[in-house]
Amino acid sequence: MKCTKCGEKAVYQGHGQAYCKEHFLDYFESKVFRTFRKYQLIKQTDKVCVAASGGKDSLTVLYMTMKYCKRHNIDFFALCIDEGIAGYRDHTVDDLTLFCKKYDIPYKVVSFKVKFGAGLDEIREQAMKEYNKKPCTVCGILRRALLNRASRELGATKLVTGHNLDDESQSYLMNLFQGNMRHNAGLGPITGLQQNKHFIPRVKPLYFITEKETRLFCLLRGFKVNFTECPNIHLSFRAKVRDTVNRLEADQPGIKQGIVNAFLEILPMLKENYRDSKPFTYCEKCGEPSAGKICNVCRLEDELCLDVQ
Amino acid sequence: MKVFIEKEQKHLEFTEPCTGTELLKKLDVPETTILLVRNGEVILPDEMLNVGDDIQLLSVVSGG
Repeated sequence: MKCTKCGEKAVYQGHGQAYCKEHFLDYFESKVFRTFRKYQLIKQTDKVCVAASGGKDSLTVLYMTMKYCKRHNIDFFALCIDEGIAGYRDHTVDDLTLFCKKYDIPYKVVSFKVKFGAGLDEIREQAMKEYNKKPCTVCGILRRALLNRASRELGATKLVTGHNLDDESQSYLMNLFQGNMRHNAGLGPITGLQQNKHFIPRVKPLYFITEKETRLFCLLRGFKVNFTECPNIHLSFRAKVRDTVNRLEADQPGIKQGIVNAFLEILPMLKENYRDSKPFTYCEKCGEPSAGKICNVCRLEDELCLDVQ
Repeated sequence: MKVFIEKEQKHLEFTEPCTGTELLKKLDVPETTILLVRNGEVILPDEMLNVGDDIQLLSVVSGG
């Protein structure tokens, strides 16, 4: 197949177009910059924190955010959360460190071990056996909280994440299957329902980019990305939804985009419906924003005997 | 042809030429989940894979 723009050998096919390396990179970067602009993800006055693990999505979003911020003279840095998953996160942290040094990007690594007194490997068994909690649930709660706290402490006003079209379509379906439309109201290119100084707004420049496009971008740009899979991923509900959506997409290309397009149509109504449905409350123990009297991190701290710093 | 499946870290060998699409069907791998690389270059699955080729199926699915 030939590139529809120049007739060179194509490396990518999608949306009725085929692109060679050069035109794929143009297509990809234009699409991401369009998302930055359309949703006004970052303002000139922002201090931008990019959540980066060293995997393909985070290296790509870090590279694209770097380009955008340099073009608009915006202050930015990378923040990595090391959950303490041996054989997985240690490799990607090494990749991130090399990447940041190569592009001269300021970065900081914050670990579960230092902030919570234990890495995920150490609390995994107890969480599963004694509390019937999946490691991904525990990891998600602690990682989200730490990203918010650390980026806020470092002075960030926006938190950029590498969430992509695949992630968003999966999240929407997971919440739908679990009957949790309130959580869906918090999704979108800019997350959250209510503005609050304790919450750093999360923005997703790769919102309309598929995982396949991201991996191809990394390969063609020459980013060092090792394929490593979290050893806990097979236990998650997300993995089941992801595999199902991928099968559907193979049979009928465009499914993921269709799911996200349909979601974006109803998102304003969901935000309107849920915005003021619950007053903003704070954890009685740590003072962080919380849905209940005690936040999820403090609950985990008690159950798993963590030592939150 | 030598085939490396990255996700499973598995090496296979095939003795008959086929297209990328046919190979993926044989392996029951959805096209949306991989990049097809022939002799170090990304190709689309409609291309022919020959006996001496070195093929990689790179996983595009997030690991965590």
